[in-house]
Amino acid sequence: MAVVTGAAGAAGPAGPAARDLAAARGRRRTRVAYLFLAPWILGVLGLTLGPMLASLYLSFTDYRLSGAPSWVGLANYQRMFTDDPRFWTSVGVTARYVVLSVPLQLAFALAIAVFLDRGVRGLALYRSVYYLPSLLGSSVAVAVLWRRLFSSDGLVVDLAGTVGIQLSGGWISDPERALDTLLVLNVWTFGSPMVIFLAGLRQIPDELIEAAKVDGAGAVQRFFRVVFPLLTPVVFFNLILQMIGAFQAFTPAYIVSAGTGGPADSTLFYTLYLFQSGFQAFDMGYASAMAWGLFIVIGAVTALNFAASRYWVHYGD
Amino acid sequence: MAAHDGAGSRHTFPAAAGAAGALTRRTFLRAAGAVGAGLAGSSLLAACGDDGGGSSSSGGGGPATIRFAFWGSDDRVRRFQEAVELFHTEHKNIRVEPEFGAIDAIETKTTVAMAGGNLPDVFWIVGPLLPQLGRDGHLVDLSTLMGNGIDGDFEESLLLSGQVDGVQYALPHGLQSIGLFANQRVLDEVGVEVRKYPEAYTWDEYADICRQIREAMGDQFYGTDEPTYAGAPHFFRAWARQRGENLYSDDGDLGFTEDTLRSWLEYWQELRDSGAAVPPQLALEQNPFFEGAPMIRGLSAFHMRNSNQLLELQGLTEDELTLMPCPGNGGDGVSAIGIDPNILGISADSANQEAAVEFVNFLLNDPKRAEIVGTTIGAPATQAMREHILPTLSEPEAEFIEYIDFEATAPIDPIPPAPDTAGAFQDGVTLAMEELAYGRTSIDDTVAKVFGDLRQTLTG
Repeated sequence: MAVVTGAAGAAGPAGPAARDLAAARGRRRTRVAYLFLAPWILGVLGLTLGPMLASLYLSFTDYRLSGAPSWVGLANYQRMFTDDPRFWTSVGVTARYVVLSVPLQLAFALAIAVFLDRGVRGLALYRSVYYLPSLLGSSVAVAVLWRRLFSSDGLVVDLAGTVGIQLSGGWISDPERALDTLLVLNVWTFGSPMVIFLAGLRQIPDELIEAAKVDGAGAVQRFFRVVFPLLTPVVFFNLILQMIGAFQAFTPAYIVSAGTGGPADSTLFYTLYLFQSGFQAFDMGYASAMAWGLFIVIGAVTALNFAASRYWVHYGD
Repeated sequence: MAAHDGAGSRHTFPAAAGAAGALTRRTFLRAAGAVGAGLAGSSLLAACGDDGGGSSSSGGGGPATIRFAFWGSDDRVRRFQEAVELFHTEHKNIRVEPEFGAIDAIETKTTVAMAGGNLPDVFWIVGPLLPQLGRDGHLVDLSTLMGNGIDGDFEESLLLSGQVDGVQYALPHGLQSIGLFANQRVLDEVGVEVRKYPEAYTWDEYADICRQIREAMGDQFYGTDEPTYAGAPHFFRAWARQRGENLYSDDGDLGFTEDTLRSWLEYWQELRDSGAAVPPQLALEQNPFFEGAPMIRGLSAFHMRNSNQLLELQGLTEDELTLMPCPGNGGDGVSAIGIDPNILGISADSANQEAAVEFVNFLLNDPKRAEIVGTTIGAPATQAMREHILPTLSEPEAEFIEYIDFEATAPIDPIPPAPDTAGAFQDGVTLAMEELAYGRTSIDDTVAKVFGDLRQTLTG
């Protein structure tokens, strides 16, 4: 502070010049900052905002890729809601996937994180090994592998057979179970929430847990009364991320069903149907409307989550 | 808990949550943006193609360069690259640049190029795109060039496949049709007689044979796979044509009656119920063609698919395969036969049309080219070329050539062209039949759906 006032005092005689100098330096700094930001800004404007606005416009048009878009007002949205059973199929599939796979995956990730947090030997190795599926999960190779795993002569059926459980195979081609295999696939990619949970667990002060122990709380009580409440901000963070991810799930369904959403539309994810509308039926206007529908739903669900978080997320202070 | 590094304090939580909030908003904006970008990106793509209005320069004095787009497997690509090399040695003043990919990718690429005015000079045309390509003026009218740059004696029935409103926008360059593949070993074991052109099984005989095979071979083996949900609509077209109907009418509406569709669905329902047809859950465990075909996987005796696949299928199994006509297409039914040629055309924007015409003529009529490419795209479209390559072919290829030769010269009823909307309509029908095969809907509902919503998709 002394330095600052000193400088201001010294500025007395040559005041305006120094102020100009400071202002000029400030402007230069701002310019330099924008220069460094430029790649990002250009990217956002050119590759994100621009195309988003374009797709907003296209969503009000009939655009078949060949020929110019023609304005149709709300017709695409109207068709979505009132005249397209496959749209609702895709909404149902996606809703089921989000509602089931996110809690399952988070519970699994938390369980593993709690286990690893007990100071296991070779923690770094385990952490890496468990994290690996997160990197592979949405890859083409794993989706192909998944198809094999759950086929009638695949590993899952074989293994179940050796321990005496008779499973009928072909889950991927069974409309009742195809989506379940994708749920399992998503749960398997629990690595990234697990790593975040692990970091969160390590932030919990030992003395609180020690105190609870001294007060006679058992392991279960300690977890639910002390650890979990302190962890809720991290749970919330993971929940938001995974929900948004689940709404946008595409690759596994695309590969496992060879782009059809089959069998019998049982894995017709919203994004997959969007892709089919846009890049197979070349109905870009409709696909754009669907994209905006998804955008609004994800926004609304996330906002809802933030509102609800007041009631269960504890920030401690 | 002892592993805590000590820096941990509860104070970090709000900060973490704050970061979570920011990250979340950003992620979700970015994510939604990505969805938007994916869509809008296509228009960018289209715009990219706007510069040249088509082809490469004809370059004063230098060789004229033409782009040639086609689709197919590695083997096919290798053969066409060899053919292009051959063309270069015979035409020093023309350079051909091949472009290739999977058929879906080529379809997307063609559509985008159509919008961008950037079509390849010579390209294979995905059937459903032909009407639009022709009507929007993207293709050269080839009728004036025939016998005047492009030679070859084409059957009238084959030329129809390249016409839009009576104008010859495309020419057939590879013939294929539907056929019935069978595992000869299984037929011998069960004692089933093979029937080839000019005769064929009737549909009733076929159903009996499939049931007989099921009984003889046991629980884990079936007679046939199904063309219904496997997306092979031309078998239903044969069924309709054998009743004097068609898949589409001349004015682009449905060409068959409700009863015809119903009888088709009942036929397959019965085969599924009696165990004569592979259940969908087993068939669709893999993509039900080539290595995923139930016949190749050892699940069925028959495989209903495109006749030109004989060579490739034979390469996937040790058992001897044989090719027979689609049931009902023999005897009195030969007029119901349908051939669906691969077709190619020349871009109207091509800057090197003369070179393009020379190359097309080479693709259609050069004997050495025909030898190099063989039957990978189907049989050569002219009888002269078919006869020329016949002695050079392997046994399965020769069997296929004889098969298609019979069909190409048979007195077949004309097939009304598929309307622009046929692709979307067929996808819908395939899906409806899949729902039915899985027992998720009834025959009545399926018929109602085809004649309701899907018919509307077709007629617009």
